[in-house]
Amino acid sequence: MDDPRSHDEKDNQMKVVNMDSVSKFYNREKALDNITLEIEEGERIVILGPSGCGKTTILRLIAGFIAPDTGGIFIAGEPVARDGHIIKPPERRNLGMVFQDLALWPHISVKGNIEFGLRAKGLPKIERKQRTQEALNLVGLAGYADRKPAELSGGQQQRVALARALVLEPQVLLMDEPLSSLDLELNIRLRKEILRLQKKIGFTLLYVTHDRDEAFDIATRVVMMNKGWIEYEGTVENIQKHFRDDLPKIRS
Amino acid sequence: MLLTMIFLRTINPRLEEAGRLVSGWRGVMKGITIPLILPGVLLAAMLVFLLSFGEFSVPNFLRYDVFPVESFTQFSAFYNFKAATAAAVPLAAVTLLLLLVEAAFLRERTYQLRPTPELERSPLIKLGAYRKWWFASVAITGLVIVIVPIVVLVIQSAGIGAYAEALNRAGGSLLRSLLYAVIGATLLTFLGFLTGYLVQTKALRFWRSVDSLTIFLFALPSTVIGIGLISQWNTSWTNFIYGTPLIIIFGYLAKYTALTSRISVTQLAQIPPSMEEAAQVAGAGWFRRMVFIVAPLARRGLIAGWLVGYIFSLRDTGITMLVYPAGHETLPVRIFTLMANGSPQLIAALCMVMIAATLLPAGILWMIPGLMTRKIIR
Repeated sequence: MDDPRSHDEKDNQMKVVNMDSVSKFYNREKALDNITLEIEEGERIVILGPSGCGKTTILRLIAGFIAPDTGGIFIAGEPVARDGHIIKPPERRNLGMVFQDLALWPHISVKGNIEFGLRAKGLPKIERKQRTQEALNLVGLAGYADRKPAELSGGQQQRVALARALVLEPQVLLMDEPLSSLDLELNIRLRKEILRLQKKIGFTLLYVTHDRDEAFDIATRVVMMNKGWIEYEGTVENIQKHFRDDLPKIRS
Repeated sequence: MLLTMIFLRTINPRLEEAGRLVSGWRGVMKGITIPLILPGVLLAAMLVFLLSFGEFSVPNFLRYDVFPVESFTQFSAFYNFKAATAAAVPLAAVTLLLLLVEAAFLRERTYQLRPTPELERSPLIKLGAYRKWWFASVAITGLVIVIVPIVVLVIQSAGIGAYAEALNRAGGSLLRSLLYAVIGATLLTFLGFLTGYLVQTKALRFWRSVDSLTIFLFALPSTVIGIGLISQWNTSWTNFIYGTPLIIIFGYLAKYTALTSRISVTQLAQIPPSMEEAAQVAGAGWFRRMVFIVAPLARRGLIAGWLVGYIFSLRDTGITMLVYPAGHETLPVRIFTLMANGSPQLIAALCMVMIAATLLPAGILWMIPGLMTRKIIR
C-alpha cells in the first residue's frame, strides 16, 4: 500500500535538521537567500563564511529565536517553523547551543548552570545530580562545581558552556563561533576537545566559524556561505580539491 | 540633572577619547559630547517643563494659584466636578502635544544612546584653575536649595516635644504612608519590570503604545489623573476600590510606572540577549527565565526601581489629596492639613519625620553587603 505522506515529508523524517528553501530579511535586506540545508545524524557540519554572510542567522533560525520569512525548518522530521511563523519555540526543540559570548549565567554556580536545563525539564533530583556530575566529569571540571563562572579561566568557561549544552542530550548541538575570542593555542586545544567529545557521544554538530583552519579541523562537511547564500558544500577533501590554490581566504 | 547624567553615561568613552587625540576638551565637548547628548538633554528639559507645568504640591503648599491648583480647588472646595474636569483638559492637551513633538523629533534619536554593556568610566576633565570657581558655584547652589532649608527645619523642630506631638497627631498617617509606599513600590517594580521587558525586547507589537502610555501618564498633572480615577471608580459597583486605599495604589501605578519601566529598560539593555536565549534553548519557559535568569541579572535595576517607586509613592500629594478615602490620609496630606492650624515646630518635626521615612529603606539596603555591588556581565 502507498504511504499517504508526501515524498518531501518522508524525506524530512530522515534528517535531524532540514532547512527547506529558507529566506530571511532584516529591514528589507536579504540576510538569507533560499537556503536549503540538510543535516544527518552524527554529522559535523561547519558553516564557514565572512562576517555578515548569514551563518549566525542560520543557527538562530534552527534554534527558534527568529522565524524564516519564507520556507520551512524541520527538526527530526517535524516542522518547527514555516513562512514567518514559529511552530515550536526554542525550549521545545531539544537543542543545545554554545553561544559566541558563552552566555554563562554569572549569578549561578557552574553546577547550577549545567543543572538549569534539567530542572526546567522537571527531572528528579537524583537524576539531575547524577547527570550534572557526569557532564562535569566529561569536560574535566569535576572540582569546579561550586565556583561561579567569573572564577574560571576562558578555557574552563568554554567547557562549562559545552557541558551545559551536552547535559540535555540534544538532537543537535549548535555552536556559534565559540572559540573566536581565544588565543590560537587554546583554540586548537579546545577544537580537539570538541572532536573528542563528539566522537565519544556521537552528537550531531552544527558549527559556525569564519576561520578556515578551524572549519577544516572539525567538519565532516563544510558549507561555505557568502552574502546570504550557499556558495559551495562538500567534504573537506572535496573543497580542497575543488578550489585547489584558489580557496578563498575567509578569515576576517 | 539626573537625566543628563544618565545620558552622559550612555556615551561610549572611546568616542570622546578619539576626539581628544585631535582636539582639546572644549572642542570635544562642542563637537562630540554635546551634539551626542543634545536630544537627551532636550528630552529632559521637556520632561522637567511638563512636571513643573503640572506640579501641584509645591504651589499648593506655598499658596500660589497655578492651573493644577485651580483644578484641585474647583473639585475640593466647590465640589464642581465639571469645572475641575474642564480645568484639567488644557493640562492634558499641552502634555499630549509636547509628547507628540517628543515622539516625532527626539525619541528615535535618544534611543540610539544605549548604555554600553561594560560600564567604563568616562575620561575626567581637568578643570585646572577654574576648579575652585566651579566648586564654589555648585556648593552655593546646593547650600541654598538643599542644606539651608533642612538646617532651618532641624532648628525649628529641635526638642523632644515637637516630635512627640508630631507622632501623636500624625503617627497613623506615617504608618499608612509607609505601608502604602511599600505596597506601591513593590507593585510599581513588578509592573515596571514587565513593561520595561516589553519595551526592551519589543516582544509584542504594541510595545511602543505601552511605552508612550506610561510616559504620558507620568507627564500628566496629578490632578488630572486624580480626577480621572474618581470618574472611573466612583460607582456603586467599584466602591471596593474607590472607598479603600486601593484607589491610592492605583494612582501610584498610573502615575509612576514610567519611572520603574525606564529603570528596567536601562538595566535590561545591559544584559546580553544570549543570557535569556541560553535558558530558552535549555528548555526553560518564559516564567522560569524571568524568575531565575533575567530578574536576578537585573537585580540592581529592580532595587533601584523599588527605591524610586517608594520615594515617589511616599511623597505623592497631588493624586492622594484628591482620591484618599476618609480615614486614610497619608503623611504629606496630614502635613498639608496641619499647616492651617499647627505650630511651625510641629510642621518642621513632621517634615523631618518625612525626610527620615524617605531615607529609611535606602539606608537599610545600602547596609546589606554586596546587594548593590556593580558587576559587569560578560
